[in-house]
Amino acid sequence: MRIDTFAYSSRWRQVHPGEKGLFTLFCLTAALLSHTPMIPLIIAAAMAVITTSGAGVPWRDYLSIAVLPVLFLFWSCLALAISFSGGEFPLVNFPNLHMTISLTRSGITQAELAFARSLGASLSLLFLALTTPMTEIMELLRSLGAPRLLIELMTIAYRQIFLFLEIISQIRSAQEARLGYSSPRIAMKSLAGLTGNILLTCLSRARQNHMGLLARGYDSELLFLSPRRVWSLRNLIGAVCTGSALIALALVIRP
Amino acid sequence: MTQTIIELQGVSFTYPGTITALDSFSAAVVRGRRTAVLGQNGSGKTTLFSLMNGLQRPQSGAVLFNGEPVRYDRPGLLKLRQAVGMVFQDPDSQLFSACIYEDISFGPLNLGLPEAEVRRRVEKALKQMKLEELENRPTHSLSFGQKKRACIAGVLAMQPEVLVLDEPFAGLDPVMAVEFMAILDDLHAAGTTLIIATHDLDLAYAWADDAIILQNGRLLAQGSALELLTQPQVHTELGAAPLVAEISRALALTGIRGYDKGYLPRTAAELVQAMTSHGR
Repeated sequence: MRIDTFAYSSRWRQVHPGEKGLFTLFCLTAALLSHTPMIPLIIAAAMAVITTSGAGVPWRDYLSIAVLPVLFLFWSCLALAISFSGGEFPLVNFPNLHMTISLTRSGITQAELAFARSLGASLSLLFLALTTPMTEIMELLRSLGAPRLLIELMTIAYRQIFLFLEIISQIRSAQEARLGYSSPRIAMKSLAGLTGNILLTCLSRARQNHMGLLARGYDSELLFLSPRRVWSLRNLIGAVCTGSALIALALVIRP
Repeated sequence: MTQTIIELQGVSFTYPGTITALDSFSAAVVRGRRTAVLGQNGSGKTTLFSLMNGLQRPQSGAVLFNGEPVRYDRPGLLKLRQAVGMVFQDPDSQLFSACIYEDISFGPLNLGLPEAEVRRRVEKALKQMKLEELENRPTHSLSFGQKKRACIAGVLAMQPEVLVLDEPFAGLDPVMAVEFMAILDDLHAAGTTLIIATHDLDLAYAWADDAIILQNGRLLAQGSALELLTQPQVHTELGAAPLVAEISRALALTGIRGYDKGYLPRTAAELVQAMTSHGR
């Protein structure tokens, strides 16, 4: 939800989503194609700087949003570096089990590369997520010819998530106001009631929404027109040049 | 010249497994006028509106639009729903996109209009409903009143001849209610037929030209709002009377000059003015 708020208040909100999307795509490709950890790390650093000082996301918030995927990446890459069948740098030895946990040189290289690539790729995507609201990303996908059904589902789901959260918080407050969470036993009971109620509320909501659609001439296809945004030639050239340069570097530089 | 725009003839409607919502109901709405639909909760107001927009089909009887029976096939329904715009009580059941602009474009696009025309209408509706500054905000960050305006913009962009509003003033604060009233007055001046369901008798008395009063799914009375809303049997059914009308009646009984000539103030402001100018 925080990501969503930043996307709407981003300084680059008015930039054409196509430009941001193109830039992200180029950087993503460069990061994934790279043979050395260096290029993706540069991309990651550049993305962090662009998103914070360029698009205006406070760096504290940026760090707290980015820390989760980074930690996750770190732990999964660690698994790549570790070997149970012997390696150059033994870590722990279990004589009884005839097993040694160790790091291998090739594993470390592999882990470094995988970590750098994923970091570059995820921070590129985070840049798009923090500067472009969901509706514009959907519009972008729509204009790129993504399946209609998928986009319609995304549109409805995205809007309904917020309604759903509101319903939950309303029911929960109502329960809390009548001491519904005062003891673990009562809390369990209230939670059960909440779950049951959500189902009923969602069903009636769905019926109402369907009526709302029909009342405005819905005929099996959700048609939307997005606000017009202007392409900026300068941004476009910038995105394409930087992006292709990065891809070229990624392909050329080998360890 | 009065011309009926929507007419219901002996319409009955029952929801599956429940009691009858409308029972051989007949009523007519006159083009270009402001009609208030009144009745207790569960008297069939919402069902009546669903029938007017073709969301429900009567089990017996007929719904007429511009004197012709409504056709319940695709083109017929599309035509009816373009001509009769419906604004629901809960704005969340009407907004589908998280982007207001997109949401407003939904109706006109369903009419199969070309892009340029859709954009023109969306921009006009945004302006009409004073939503331009909110255009870039996501739907879920808007207040109740703003969402309500977004809903109406979505309906106005379809350029309906009739606007049906279910409890449009419920949940609005007095400031927003006054603004909203001004919007309705503009639409009325532009020739749109307005139908609202309300529980607010003072509002109905001050605003409406005509009234339709329901009682348990049947028509209790229909006609001029001023006449109907001063009838004791209507007061009994609705559980209240318009305050301004009651005070005027009481003042007329006391014989204060100005009221014996049949002058009926409709709003509190008119009443005060009448009292201060004719009182002594």
